[in-house]
Amino acid sequence: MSKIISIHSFRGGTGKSNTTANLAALLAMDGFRVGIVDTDIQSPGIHVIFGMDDSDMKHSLNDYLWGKCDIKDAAHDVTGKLGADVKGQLFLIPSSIKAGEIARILREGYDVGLLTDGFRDLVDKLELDYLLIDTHPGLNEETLLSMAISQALIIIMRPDSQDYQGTAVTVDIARKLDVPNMLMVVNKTPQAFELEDVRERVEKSFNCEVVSVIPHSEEMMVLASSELFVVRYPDDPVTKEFRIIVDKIKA
Amino acid sequence: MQFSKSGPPKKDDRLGNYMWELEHRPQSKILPSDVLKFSDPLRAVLNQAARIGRISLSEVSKLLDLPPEQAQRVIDLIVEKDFLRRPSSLGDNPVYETRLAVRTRKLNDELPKEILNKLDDL
Amino acid sequence: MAKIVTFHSYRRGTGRTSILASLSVILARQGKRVGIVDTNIQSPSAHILFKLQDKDIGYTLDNFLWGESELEQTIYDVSKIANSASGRIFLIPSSDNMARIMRVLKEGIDVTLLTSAFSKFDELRDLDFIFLDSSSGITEDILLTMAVADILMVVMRLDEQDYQGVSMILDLAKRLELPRSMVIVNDIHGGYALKEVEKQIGVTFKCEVGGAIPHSDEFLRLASEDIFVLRFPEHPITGTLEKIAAKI
Repeated sequence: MSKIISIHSFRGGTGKSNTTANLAALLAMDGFRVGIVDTDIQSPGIHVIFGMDDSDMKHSLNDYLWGKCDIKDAAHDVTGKLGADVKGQLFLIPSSIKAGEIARILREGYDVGLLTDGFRDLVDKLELDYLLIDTHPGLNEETLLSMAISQALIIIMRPDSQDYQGTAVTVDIARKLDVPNMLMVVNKTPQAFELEDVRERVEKSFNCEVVSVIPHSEEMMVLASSELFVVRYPDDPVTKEFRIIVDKIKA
Repeated sequence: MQFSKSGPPKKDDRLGNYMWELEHRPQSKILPSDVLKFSDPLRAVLNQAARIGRISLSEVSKLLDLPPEQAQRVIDLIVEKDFLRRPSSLGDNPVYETRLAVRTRKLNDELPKEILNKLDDL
Repeated sequence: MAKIVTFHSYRRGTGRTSILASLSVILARQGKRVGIVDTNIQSPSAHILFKLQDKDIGYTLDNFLWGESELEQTIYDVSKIANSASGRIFLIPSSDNMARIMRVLKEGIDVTLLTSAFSKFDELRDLDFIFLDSSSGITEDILLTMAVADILMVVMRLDEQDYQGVSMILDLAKRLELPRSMVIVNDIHGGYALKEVEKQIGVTFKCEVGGAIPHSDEFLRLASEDIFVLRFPEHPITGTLEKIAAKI
């Protein structure tokens, strides 16, 4: 059975999209068929990491939500971005980056139920092993819905006080929605922090396992979403942490 | 509805409590954020239906610890709240598909006309 | 009449609210009266920077929007933090109660009432500036807060995701015929020459660049706990922020 996995962070700037893209890349490199859906309709961004811009998008998630196309038609094969000899396949369903189309979604609203139907349809038609949902930060009905239908939820936070507060809310909600697997990831940990201390503090705060504490990475910042980190730096400690998360997903 | 007049049912009346909660918690349709507010076995039913995409009478009956005819009444009310879809053929153990047809809020007429007009030609 | 300055960032986590807070302190110390409205209803944070505790907060912006309170009751004087003789900072915070946030998301806000709040705020406190801290991305409230702005301040990082987003925002600003838009580049990594970054951003987006702020561990660690210019008055970044304040 394929797995639907939501990636969420309560606040922005946690590196959610970069983490999603890199986890998906590693899964595809391991030979799996993987899909990513960008449900951050109000500020799409993950397509950039795969080197896409407006002109590369035949169809977007928005077109599907308006009934202009099948969800499958909005899937773009981005396997080529992972380098040579990739056994698996990676698809991205981007959100539109036309200001007018974003404004239109705001004005007209859309059928959230279509999203879930679309996710399940994608899994079937593209024969996916994993579908990763890059959610909108914070909480709204769409995010709750993504969580509700996921077999696993990856929660990404930074170790700062606002994130602690907000993440507690997300954890509480995930528990109420009976999400079967909750994977906590601490990202962008400042150099001055002891990684193990951070892990302990987070585990204590939320009473759940922390899968990975990722140190702040200057390489990642300099890369600035222009490429996939795991492709460029296969032996970096950050890539090793991504691997640990991927192993957890596969388990 | 028979339960709404008399106020909350007694604690040990399981069916009564489930029905009362379903009638009172969300005013109309059940949205994902409403699911959070339900108390436990009922929430588990809604969660499982959402995650797997369908749920059967026997599963509901087991989760809620109710005999099938009572579980059926709970399901009927969830169908009325537009969260489950009635199957075309019922049979012994009917399977209900989950319907998460929730619309996001429309913005029409909320922003001043002159702003909307400027966006129209985008 | 107060000048309305709307702070926006396309992606979250650009340091937008921290910059807004620092700029308001700088202006207050120059004797200005600054009003801040936290219109980032989905994840409000301005109250934390200005050290308003939960127990100190009674009514918030959403109470006013639902007719549960007068605007007057939602205004908090946070001037103490700036320690200025004549300057003032007033804050209208948003609620960080999850149930209230969900209610706003579900039922929406009355945008006419929100606009009226800005002018009323000015009337009540005789302000020089109104700073609006908006949510990220393209949302209902950003369309509105942009439309009323005298100056749009777009805060971005040097990240490819920000590039595409910011050009979209600036395009929107043009369509809404905003009188003035300014980009602030924050958290610049990799030791780029700041002057060069300023020049390039200006050329790329054909817009005014407020300033370029290098990455700083101090800034990152301070995160949401304190206001930068108060904690590090001698830091070069404080100098940059003062220059940006002068442009407003």
